[in-house]
Amino acid sequence: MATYEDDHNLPASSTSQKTAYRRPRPDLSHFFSSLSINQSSTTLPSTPQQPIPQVPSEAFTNLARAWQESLEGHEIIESLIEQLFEEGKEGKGGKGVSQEFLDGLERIPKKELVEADICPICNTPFLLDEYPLVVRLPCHKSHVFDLECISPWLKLHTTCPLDRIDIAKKKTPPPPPVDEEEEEWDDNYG
Amino acid sequence: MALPKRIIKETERLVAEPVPGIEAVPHEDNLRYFDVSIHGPAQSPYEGGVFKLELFLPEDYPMTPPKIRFLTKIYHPNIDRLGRICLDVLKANWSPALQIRTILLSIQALLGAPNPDDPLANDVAQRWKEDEPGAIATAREWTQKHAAP
Repeated sequence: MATYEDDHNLPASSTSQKTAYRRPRPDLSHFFSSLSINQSSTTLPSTPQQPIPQVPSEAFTNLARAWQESLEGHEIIESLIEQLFEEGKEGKGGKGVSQEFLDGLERIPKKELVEADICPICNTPFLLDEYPLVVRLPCHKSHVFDLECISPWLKLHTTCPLDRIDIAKKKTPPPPPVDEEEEEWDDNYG
Repeated sequence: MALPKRIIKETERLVAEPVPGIEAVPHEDNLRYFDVSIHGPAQSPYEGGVFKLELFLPEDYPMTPPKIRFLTKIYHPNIDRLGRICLDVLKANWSPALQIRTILLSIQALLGAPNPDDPLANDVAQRWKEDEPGAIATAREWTQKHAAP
């Protein structure tokens, strides 16, 4: 893999100088890992999967911790940090859908997509991606999103970004093309 | 972190196809920070005024709404003395399918349709309910005094 220096055509030593200028940034890796949907692409096959917190409230706590470590004596930020801790505690943020729900969303095959189809979140045509991973929400057939874009939203909310319909209240996403007669779909889902 | 493509696209479109009566210009040194001006809607007490706002796109935008407030003083039941705006789409009703331009349009619409039943500035809202013509006259005065273009 190319290093930062390779990419930027720099002598290897300049990195340390560059980083010295940087203001300390909070380490958000925990927060983002708790939101990210697929870690396996970045971890080696041999590495055991790190347990990802599935509860969004844990993500709030992680975020609060990350900020707390990097900032001191900033009142507004501190109050925000406290707010995050509280949301983490109260499980207020635990409103999102489960990983299983995300995994079960209806996938749209590439051949069904046309050039004009764009993701309403990133506003980028799906087909710009050679391997688009596109899902449809159960509320409406035209409500399709990049899985990568909709996942962080649905981990914290259960509403469709386009119509605010609570998709968790509906049954689990309809299982891929099943005949209409099969009505006794057992809804054991939380 | 690099600026997400979405923000770049939104910014480009705001410049290329501006919304009538609304300007949003990003700071050169911080492309997440915008200087915004909104023209008061016709037939409202804010007509003829140009209102300055600041808009900031947080790190996790568009998963969280933009932060936005009025810099120009304004007499409005849903805007407090610090310029904070009481608008559902900026809080609980935010959706990542909304954009800078849609939010700014909502704010422009809020100027045209004050809602004293959902107040942020309590004293203003109360006056709006008890003495609407008086409140509107004050709003007009403030517009001339503080928001003259």
